[in-house]
Amino acid sequence: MSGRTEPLLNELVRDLKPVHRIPTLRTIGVGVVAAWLVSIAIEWAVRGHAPEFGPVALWGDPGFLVVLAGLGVAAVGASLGALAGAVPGREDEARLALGSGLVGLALACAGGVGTLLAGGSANASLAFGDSVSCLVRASLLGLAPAIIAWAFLSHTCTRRPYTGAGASALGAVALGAILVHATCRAENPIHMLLGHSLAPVWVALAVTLPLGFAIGRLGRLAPRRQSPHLPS
Amino acid sequence: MHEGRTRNEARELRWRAWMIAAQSGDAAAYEKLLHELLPYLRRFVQRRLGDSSVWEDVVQNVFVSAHRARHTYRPERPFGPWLHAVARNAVIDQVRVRSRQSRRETPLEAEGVPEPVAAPVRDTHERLSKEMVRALDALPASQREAVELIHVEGLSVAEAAAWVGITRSALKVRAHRGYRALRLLLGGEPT
Repeated sequence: MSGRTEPLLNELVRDLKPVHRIPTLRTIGVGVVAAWLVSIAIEWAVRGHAPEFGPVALWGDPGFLVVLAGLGVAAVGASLGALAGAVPGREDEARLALGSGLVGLALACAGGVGTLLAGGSANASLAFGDSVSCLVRASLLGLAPAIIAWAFLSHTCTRRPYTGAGASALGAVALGAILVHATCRAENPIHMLLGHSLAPVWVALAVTLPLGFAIGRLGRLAPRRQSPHLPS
Repeated sequence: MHEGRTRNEARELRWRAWMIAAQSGDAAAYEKLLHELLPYLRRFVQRRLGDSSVWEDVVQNVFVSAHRARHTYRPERPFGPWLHAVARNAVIDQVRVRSRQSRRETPLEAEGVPEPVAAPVRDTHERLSKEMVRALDALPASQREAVELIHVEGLSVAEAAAWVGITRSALKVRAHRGYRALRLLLGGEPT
């Protein structure tokens, strides 16, 4: 198409239609947190009682608190990284946020491993069964925030959809895991590691490929539906 | 120098205003924006791809990408970094497509056809250009932007600082870190 840039510009002008701007990252961030709070409220309503926090002894355990802090950092960092990475010109912020999220995840795992090494009672066979229920609960609590993030990504993201899908899943499930960790009564350190600290990782590993593919397709198709006659 | 800074600030404000109007469907503003961006983006792409034969195609891809991504521009953000990100991504995509194509193509010498004398020189230019694009892509966006504005766009430090919206010293620091990282990425000795 060399030498035809001026006619292309005229074509683009003819194709111009008003567009809805993407919301600000702050708005989407608030949406993600609101969706998380709504999920907690729904769980509260379904169970018929407020979430009960874990045994007092756990709250004095540094390993428990490190996991909690790590999950918090992972949730904020990975979610912000996924959202910022979808907006052109915000790559630096995305990289910084994603880096923080991964540090948070490492911190959460270090907290679990630290508790295990400190000699917490560990029964592996019990831990695996309990971990699945905590993993499912964290995923359910993270589902609504993840849907908000995926809707934004599929509208915006035309590059690196797999990174966006993985990071948003990681962030959303880390959000869910915060409440799971704070309210879980199990004191088994293997359970804490597998069902709480690593819950975002299992889910991210499971959904990144299919979701990344879907986000990539939607991200590429949305503008083409608006301007079907423009060259690819 | 002050004049250059004022000119760039005025340009940024003008482009931003036209882009905001274009998002609302103002075709006249959009036409002005696209025609004013044309020489700017031609320079941007040509300097990144060297004397490649496809740079005009890449310019067109940049325009189509920017057109399709126009909903992702937020008025409270500067226009320059948004445009640069879209343009840079289009250039990278083009380089990747060409790399894939060149891997699939059979060299002429394998077919028994003598290569033109100028080909090795052109190949060297293209390889260097690809390596440079990859190295630039590996830099943090702030450093990449500083290096590009000064060495690809040919802006002065003051103009580049005004474009990014930071002080001259901050821009110099970013550019210096960018050069150092580029030197390492391209296999040079650290200073």
